[in-house]
Amino acid sequence: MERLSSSTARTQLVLRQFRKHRLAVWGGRILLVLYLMAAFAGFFSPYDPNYYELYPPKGNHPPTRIHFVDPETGRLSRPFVYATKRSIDPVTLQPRYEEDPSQGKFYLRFFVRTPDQPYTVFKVFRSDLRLIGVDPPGRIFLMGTDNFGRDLFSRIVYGGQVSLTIGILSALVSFALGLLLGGIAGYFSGRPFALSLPPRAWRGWSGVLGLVGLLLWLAVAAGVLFLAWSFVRLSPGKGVFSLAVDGVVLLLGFGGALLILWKVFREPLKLDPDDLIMRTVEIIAAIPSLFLLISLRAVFPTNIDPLITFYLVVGLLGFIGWGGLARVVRGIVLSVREMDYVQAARALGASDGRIIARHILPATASYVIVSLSLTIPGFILGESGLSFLGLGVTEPYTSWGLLLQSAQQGGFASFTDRPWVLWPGFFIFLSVLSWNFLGDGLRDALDPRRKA
Amino acid sequence: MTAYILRRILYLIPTFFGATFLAFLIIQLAPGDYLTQLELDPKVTPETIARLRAQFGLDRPIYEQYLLWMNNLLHLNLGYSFAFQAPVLEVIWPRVVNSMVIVIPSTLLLYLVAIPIGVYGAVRQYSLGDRILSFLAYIGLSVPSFFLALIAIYVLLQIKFRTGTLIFPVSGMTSSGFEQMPPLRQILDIAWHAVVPVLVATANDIAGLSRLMRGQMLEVLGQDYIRTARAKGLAERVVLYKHAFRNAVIPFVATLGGLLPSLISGAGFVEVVMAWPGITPFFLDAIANQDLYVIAGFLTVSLVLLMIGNLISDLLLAWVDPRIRYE
Repeated sequence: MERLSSSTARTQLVLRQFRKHRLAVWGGRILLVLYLMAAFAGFFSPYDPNYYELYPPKGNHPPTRIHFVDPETGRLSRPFVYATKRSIDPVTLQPRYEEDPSQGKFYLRFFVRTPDQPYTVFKVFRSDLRLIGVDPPGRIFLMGTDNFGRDLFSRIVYGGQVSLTIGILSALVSFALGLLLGGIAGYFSGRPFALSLPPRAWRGWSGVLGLVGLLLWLAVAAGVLFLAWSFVRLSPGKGVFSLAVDGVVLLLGFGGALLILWKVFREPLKLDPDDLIMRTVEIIAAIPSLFLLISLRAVFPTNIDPLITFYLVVGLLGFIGWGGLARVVRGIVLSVREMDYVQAARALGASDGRIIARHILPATASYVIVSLSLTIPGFILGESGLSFLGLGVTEPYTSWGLLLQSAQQGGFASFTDRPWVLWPGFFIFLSVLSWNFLGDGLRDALDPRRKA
Repeated sequence: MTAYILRRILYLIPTFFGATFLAFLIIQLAPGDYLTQLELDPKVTPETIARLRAQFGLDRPIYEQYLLWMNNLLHLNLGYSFAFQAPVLEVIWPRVVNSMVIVIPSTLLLYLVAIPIGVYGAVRQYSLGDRILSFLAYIGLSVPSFFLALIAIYVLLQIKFRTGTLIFPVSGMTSSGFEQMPPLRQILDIAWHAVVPVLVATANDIAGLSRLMRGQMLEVLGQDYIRTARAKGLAERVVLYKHAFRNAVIPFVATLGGLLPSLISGAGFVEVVMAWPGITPFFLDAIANQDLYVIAGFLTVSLVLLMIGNLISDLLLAWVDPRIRYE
């Protein structure tokens, strides 16, 4: 009872602090709208994202003008649009669209049904109800169309499904990796694992394991020797410097192999997981992340199934991002490990798993929540950049980065003549900005030290 | 101190081999190699391909290729570019220099703008100016750099359509007829082309650096010795710049070493969108072509610079901050 009341008080305190950060509250509201739009994409988009008309074609159609004033009476009227007539510009050979009042007015209608373009919500519920629409043959393109004549606004709404979820999914992947590896590194730092068993200690089953381990280590020693020998064998130069380098490498190879053999027979070979994990983090951090991302993407063929590409991008972004988090989590765990309450738990006989789950992980919680909300925008940017280079998600899926890529594909003219193709960029910007504000507000609210 | 430096260098060795091997492995894991595209060409006989493959050493096992490459690296030879038929260093260097034309001014601009903003934000905390500046910084942080570049191009071209003059060029590094210009005009021409890319490349990082500066400055301003300084009746200017600022800026010394690798790693997407002949589009091409040694060589150089940079950071930090001791 006591605990419950204190935790609600803390929640209220955090909430009150959070509400003070007005930009963060607005960020949260905008994100709510964006994620609702992505979740119910079919309802919010006027058309199917892949629907286009063959005749008359509607490629590169500018945003439809919505009229509020009736030109005949000059009075305010219900919002309506005109159908458009297509012609080809004789000079630039680009399509031109002009309003054609002769076909009559098409009033903007809410909650319309489009039986020819059904959609599903969460792949389960079928529906064809859409928030806004006009009667055919009128069309409403809120943000124009792409070069096929597909409605850009609908594509943006559906692209949000990919762009917004990829940010969260990659953040979760990198957090799972970062928490697990950072936790292991911190918790087991200074408690190395034995990786071999000297023959003296062989008893029963451990003898079998020890023998297997011994053989493995012999193989490793042989491998080291083989690599050193190959290095000398392949050495192209015959100068003094080359011979010296070859000699050093050969010596190192022999030394390494002997060291392994000597260790294996005398005492257990030990490896500190902290060292291993932190070296790995260093290696990954050593390669510039944009280049590492692109190089890793190049490992996989570009023409694989679009759904696999989606998960691939999630995995790659998550893999790039876990290092920094692991480093911080390791630091927190290292300091919490020495706290009296953890020592007390250990003295009471609690297992490693219980100590980690019940005493150490909760200590990292507020840091994790804050940095989760501050890394998601980075992943959204990462995905949009990758897609912008054509290495991210592929058709029929779409994302805001991919939409921007097709916007600039035809050179500068393609977006100076048709500025509406830049809309997807504003959605990237808006979502990243909102996440940044939200994360900032959470940090101020959750971190009591920052109360100024 | 010497022992510390030596131990640091010793620790760098496994990291170096691990990272170069990782880079090498990643490139080799990609399906096919540089000659795969050539195989599709009906005019090239399989014998030619096999001969070229043997010549490039691509028919050997991966570990042999790595050892051979490492052997050459120890002779300060980064290898040979398949696509350009020239040593890697010769191919990469001009591109890196082109990138530096953007990166160096943009880094200077970044520090010149972000640190004053941070100090102002701390001294006038929650003032209107602080709020506006940090809001603008957040906008810079949240715009994808390629989108900002696209917007800049759009605005410049619109101005050109309206007024007929192009204030700044939207793509490339040089005007036509660059070869015939006198040297001074050439420098001015490149500078003129670099203005927009530099601004776009800077916008992203201002938020992070100025927030860091603001936080540092706020923390220092809350210290007892600042209250003491004020109690002594020192002028506010002296308190701020002689006592607070000097201590607040210490962590930035640690970021200086990190600038070393960023000097050669290019300005990123801006180069791609604005057709700047820098290292980023070049690297993308190299990956598409699987130009093995160009990728591996470039990654190695940036790796070495990163390691040196980290070491310099630590040493600088120990030099400016006498409280830090390395055993």
